[in-house]
Formats: sequence, structure tokens, C-alpha cells
Amino acid sequence: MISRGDRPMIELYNLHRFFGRTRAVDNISFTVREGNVFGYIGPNGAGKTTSMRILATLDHPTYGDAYVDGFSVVDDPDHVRRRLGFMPDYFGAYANVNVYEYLDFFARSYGLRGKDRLKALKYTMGFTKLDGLAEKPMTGLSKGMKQRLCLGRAMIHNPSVLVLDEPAAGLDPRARIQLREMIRELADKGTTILISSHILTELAEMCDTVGIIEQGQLLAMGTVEEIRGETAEHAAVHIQTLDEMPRLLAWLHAREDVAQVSSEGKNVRFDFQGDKDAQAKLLKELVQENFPIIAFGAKERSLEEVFMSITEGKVQ
Amino acid sequence: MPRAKSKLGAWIDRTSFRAAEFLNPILIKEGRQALKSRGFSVPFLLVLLACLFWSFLGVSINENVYYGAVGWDFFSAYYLILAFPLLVIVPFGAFRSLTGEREDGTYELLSITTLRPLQIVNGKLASALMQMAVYLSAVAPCIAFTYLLRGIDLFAIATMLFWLVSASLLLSVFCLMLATLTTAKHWQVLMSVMVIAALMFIFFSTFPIVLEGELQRLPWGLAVETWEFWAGSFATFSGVSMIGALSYSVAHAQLKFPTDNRSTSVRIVMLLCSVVYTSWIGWASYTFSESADDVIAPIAISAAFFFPFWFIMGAFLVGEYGELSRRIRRTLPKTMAGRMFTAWFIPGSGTGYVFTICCAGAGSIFGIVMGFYADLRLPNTNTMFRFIDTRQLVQILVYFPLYLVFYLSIGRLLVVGLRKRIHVGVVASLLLHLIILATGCIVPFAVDNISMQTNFRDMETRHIIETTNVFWVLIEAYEDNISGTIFALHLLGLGGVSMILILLNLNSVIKEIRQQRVAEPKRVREEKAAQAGPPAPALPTNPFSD
Repeated sequence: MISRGDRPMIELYNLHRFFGRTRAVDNISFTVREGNVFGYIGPNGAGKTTSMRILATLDHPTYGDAYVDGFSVVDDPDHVRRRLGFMPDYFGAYANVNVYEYLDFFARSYGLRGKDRLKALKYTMGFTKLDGLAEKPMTGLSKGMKQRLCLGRAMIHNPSVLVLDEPAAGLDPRARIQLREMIRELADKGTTILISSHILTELAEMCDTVGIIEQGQLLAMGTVEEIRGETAEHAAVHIQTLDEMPRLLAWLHAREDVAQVSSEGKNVRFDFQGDKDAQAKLLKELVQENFPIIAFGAKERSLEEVFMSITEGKVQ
Repeated sequence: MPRAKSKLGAWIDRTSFRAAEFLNPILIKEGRQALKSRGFSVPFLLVLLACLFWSFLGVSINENVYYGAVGWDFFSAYYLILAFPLLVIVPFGAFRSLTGEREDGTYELLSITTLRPLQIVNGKLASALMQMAVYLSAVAPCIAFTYLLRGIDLFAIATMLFWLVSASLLLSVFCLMLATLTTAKHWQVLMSVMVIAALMFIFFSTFPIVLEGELQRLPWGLAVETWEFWAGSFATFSGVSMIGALSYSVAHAQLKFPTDNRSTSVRIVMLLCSVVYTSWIGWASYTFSESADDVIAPIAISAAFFFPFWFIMGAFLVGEYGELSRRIRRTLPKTMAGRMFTAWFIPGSGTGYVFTICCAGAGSIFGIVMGFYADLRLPNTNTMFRFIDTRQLVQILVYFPLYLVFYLSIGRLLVVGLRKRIHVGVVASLLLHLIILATGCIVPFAVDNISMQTNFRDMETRHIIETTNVFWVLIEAYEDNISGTIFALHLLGLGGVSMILILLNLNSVIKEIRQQRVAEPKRVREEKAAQAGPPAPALPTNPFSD
């Protein structure tokens, strides 16, 4: 039996989507488990929105399939829609409608009736901090308010999966922090979230798993730490030694995988070409060479650095 | 939920709140929007002002208003004022309501809710009906005023308003259907212009009908007291309703998810359209006929509308793809007998091809049987319809399905061939069929006319040259210029080629109907079981029984 947290809520199997000769999504497969936040990273035109639209049943794959809570988006879109909330990268406003009426319309459209609908509206407006804006026309909302309203619309029917396409785009820092807190709170309550963003530092803080996509292909996937580790071919290494600095510098200069060596007092800094295994091997060799090492550290690269090293910035 | 202070107010609030739970969400949303929108309040005020203006003007210029029965004069003007919003604003509003949602991206948000496509179409129609009711309420006091002026009775008022509301509803459904046909912005703009032009044309067409009082005498100038009036009215209404039903089913199908079955419901309505029209024509021909000619001629004339209908429908159906999604294959009949009877209703180019031919063939046989029956049962007197006889009817009703098979078969072979290289959709299929039909008519016509200038031929040779020109041959058949020999030659030539074309198409048709039913996925079965609730506990059994 699958326990909570192990249950796959989003599954993509060999997903392909072609537009003529353009391969918008080219053989993507991954799984997101219940309550996890999956960050989708990629340059513009990488295929993030297309695959998210397929998950939201707004588009259909050329080949392959995607599942939400075990239901195929191709064969059972009606079941998927009951479980999924989608926040696209556009607003989708109605003229002459206020905040309450907008949410009320979507609550009714998701089949919520009577007291259930009123409860859902009250909860959603409270959660997204829109209580004071109920009577405000949609046209008078700020960007941050609109994004909160969009999130409210996506979660009004209490979906088990939320797909958020660039939710933080164009928000000021305060609004971004508020949105991040809301997303984290939803995840803590068990909602599975797939989120795409260009603000990578935020994704690193928010996501359990990230996937990097370019030209329709998934280039890397895992936890932020795993991705940093997997792709760490270069690291800024810092060594502190008690003695034998000249011999250490000569030994490092002689190595082909070491570059840009600099020293200051008992500290040596250099660029090392190699992954974590190679770093461990380097430390072992230093000890075997009887250098009195008292500190060894390799600075982890940021997600932005990882993203830049993996992607080439190509679009189709 | 708003709270009123008085008991009655609170009761009204509670009741309306409960009632609103059963209403379509789109109706509620659009109602709220309309109350705040200038696009609704301005036309509403203009209608009120126009009615007021005409009331003052009518009273001041009409000298008979104090003594004569001038109700009809006043009513005609109010009717035309009301016709503008009902025939132009409301249908165009329905069209823009859907295209606007697509432009703003709100349709996508709506489509991923649990609202079904049918509910979306119903919501838009309900909204159109609500607007009609509001416009009617604006004009209602003026219409009541016309009754008091005498010269028009309540029945005439009710009949005319009924036809106006029916026309408005039909136009709204048709416009909604048009709105679903394309998502491309440039096509939507072009279609908007065409829709508004067509609606204005329809509105101005009502002027002579209303001013001359023709509408009151619908249908066909029959007196209200006669039962034929009611039967004719019902026939006209059911005929118009069928166009509405077809538009409604197409609009609904267009909004469905791509892997859904978009075809079966449309095919059923197509068939229903044919059955309703054929039945009414048959019934009306017999009821009002005094001789066999009165039956045969209307059938032959109706055939001229019946077969083009099936040609266009067939061209659309041939443009469908035959690969069924797993979702559709779950619903395929389980039994062999079930599959035999319903196979032609499942989506696919081949099934659509056979479906069209069968429907047209059945219509043709029905017409021939009716013609012979009339010939045997009724006397042959010289009536106004004495321009066509049974032999001609048979010719016409054989030619029509024959040409239908000929052109649809060629069209389908081309569609199937082209699909190996490019995507061919339903609209492309229709265009392709029209091109083939035009080629089949223009080429022999040109050859015939160019060669006629150098080498004069007799009519029989020309009939042979023009064999594929359906328009030429049918006009000649209606004018009784096709001899028995030519008919036999056409039958042999066209029939033979059509048989070969059917055989060529048959292989891919068989592949389509041999698709296997698939079981529902386990997850869907689990969901259904969960929704059905826990199984009933087993009843205690009697330990003493065997």
C-alpha cells in the first residue's frame, strides 16, 4: 500500500508535444510525489508552459501521457480537472466583476454548492488575504493582488495538485515572499505543487525537487543538493594548512585539475575541476602526501550557476 | 449571502439564494456583468427611448388614434424596435460572449473547471434568453398599450412575439456555433464582420414581413381557425428547431476535449433532421394533395435541398479521423449486434462515409416509394404541379445518391491519401470536396462548350460528355430531357465507377469498424466504486436453511 508522501500525484511518461517541426516537449518523464513541491526551471521557450498546459488538460500530447493522481490527462480529463488547480502565466479577467463574484463564479463552476461554496470562498479569501478586497473590481487590482486572486481561483475547489506557471513574475519582494509562504503552506497541508519560475533562488528555497528543461528536454532532475552535486564539475576549494605552504603550492600547481591557485597566510584557494568524488580523492591525496591540513572546503554552486552551466540558452 | 431586515425580505433572500444554486454559473456571472455593463444598459435605454418616442410620435401624427382601430400600426413599430435587440444585439452578444472569452483567455480557465461543454453552451444560451426577457419587459407596456388601441388581438400578439423569440434563440445558437468554429484571431474578426452583416440583413428583412402583416398569417397564409394552420405552424417550428438542434450539437461537440467523442451526437441530430424534414414533407404532400402530382413534385423539389445537405454533412464527416482515443473505445458496444448497428455512429472518416451514403440512400428509397404509392392511390389530374411525373422522380432520386456516392468516394480517397503527408481536418475536407465537385462540373462543361463551337453535337452526346456535371444532368432530368437510353448509360457508367470507388474505400472503412473496445483503467473503476459508496453489508443468512 502506498503511504502518504509516497503516492505519485504527477507522472509524465515519454511526453512529446510537437508544433509542426518544433519539438516543444521532447520525451519528458518524471514523477512528483504527494505533498512535494517540484520546481520547473528553464529558459523562455524551453517547453515548461506547454507541459504544464498538457497537465492542466488545456493541450494534449503528440505522444506519451501524463497522469494526475493516477488519471490520464488524455483519457480522463474530467477526473483530472477535479483534482487539479492551474494558475497560468496570464490573468484571465472578466469585465464588470469584483473579486468575490469572480471567485464565486469559479466555485460554482467547480460544482461547489450551498454552504460548501460559502466555506470554500471564506477559506480561500482568508488564505489569499483577499478578505478586504471582496467588493473591489478586478480592473482595480495591483499585480500582487491579481496573483493572489489567481491562486485563489486555482485552489477554490481544494485540489490535490496545483500547477503554477510563473506565479511570482512581476511581483515586488513583499508580494513574492507572501506568495512563497502561501505555496509552502499549501505544500505542508499535502498539496502537490508543480511550479515554474525564473527566480531561481526562490525555487531553491521552496522546492523539494527541481527539474531543468531546455529545448523540450529534461536535462537534470533531483533535489537542489543533488543537482548541485551532479553538475558540480568545478568547485572553488579552500584549504587551510598548518605548515609546508611552498610544497603545497608546488604540488597544486603541478596538477592539471587545479587552476587559479592563490594563497594568503595559511589559506590556499583554487579552482578545482571535478565532482564531489574527485574532491574527496583530492583530500585523500593531500593527507597521503602528509600535508598538515586542518580545513578543507568546497564552495557549493548556487542554483543559478548550476542552471547556467546546464543550459545553453537555446530556444527552438 | 445578503441579509434583509424584514421577514419577507429575509425569505426572498433565502429562496433566491437556494434557487440560484440550481442555475447555471455562467448565467449568474453574465447576469451580474450585464447589470454593471454599459453594453447592456445603453441598448436597453435606447429601446425604452425608441418606444417612448414612437408612442408620442404615433399619437401625434395618427389622426385615427381616438376613433379607429390603430393597434396594428402601433404594434408593427414596437415590434420592429424590439426586433433590433432580439435579432441583432442578443445573437451578436452570444457570439461575442464566446469569442471574447477566447480572446481574453478566460475560456481556458472555464474549460478546465468541472463545467461540461453542454453546460457552457447552455449557460451562454440562458444568458441570451435572460437578455431577451429584459428587452421584452421593456417593450411589454407598449405592447399592452397596442392591445387597448384595438385592431390587433392577443393571439396575433402572442404569435408574433413567439416567432420573434424563436428566431432570436435560433440565431443565438447559430452564432454560438460559429463562435466555436475557429480560435484564430483573424478568422474571428472576419467572422464577426460577416455575422453582424448577416444579422443586420435578417433584421431589415423583417420590415416587409411585419409591415405587410405576413407574420400573423404564418404558415403559408392559412387561417388561424383551421387545424392545418396549427399543423403547419408546428411543422415550421420543428423544422426551424432542427436547424437550431444541429447548430447546438455542433457547438457542443466543438467545445469537447479532443479525445472526446465529438461526432456521435452530431450524427444523431443529422439523422433526426432528415427524418423530421422527410416526415413533414411526406405528411404535408399527402394532406394537401388532390392528385399524384401534388406529392411527386414536392418530393422532387425537396430532393434538391436534401442531397446538398447530405453532401456537405458527408464532406465534414469524411474529414474526421478514424483513430479512436482510448476514451472513446471504452464506450464501444460490447456485442456484435450492438457494434453492427452503432458502428456508423462512432467517429471516423469511413464510418461517416457509410453513414452519409446510407442516410441519403434511405431518403431516396423513401421518396421513390412515396412517389409510386401516390401514383397508384391518387388520381392524375392537371394541377399546378403537373410538370414532373413518376419516371422523372425516379430518375432524380437515383441520380442524387449516385452523384453523392461518386463525389464523396473520390473525396474520401483523396483525403486518406493526403493524410499520409499532411493534416487534413474537417474544414479542409469540405473545401476539397467542393473543389472536386467544381472540377467535375466545370471541366466537362468547358469541354462541351468549347468543342460545340467547332463541332455541333446532338443532345444525347452532350449528355454523355456532361456525365460528371451533376448540375447539368439534374437540370436536364427536372426538365424531362433525359431519355431512357441516356439514363441507362449514366446508370451503367456512373454506377460502375461508383461501385469501384466504394470497393476502394471499403478496406479502410473495415479497419475503422474493427477497433477493439478497451476496459476502463483501474483508477477510474476505483473512483467510480468510491463514488458509489461502500458495498451494502451482506444480509445475515439463516443457519437452518439449506
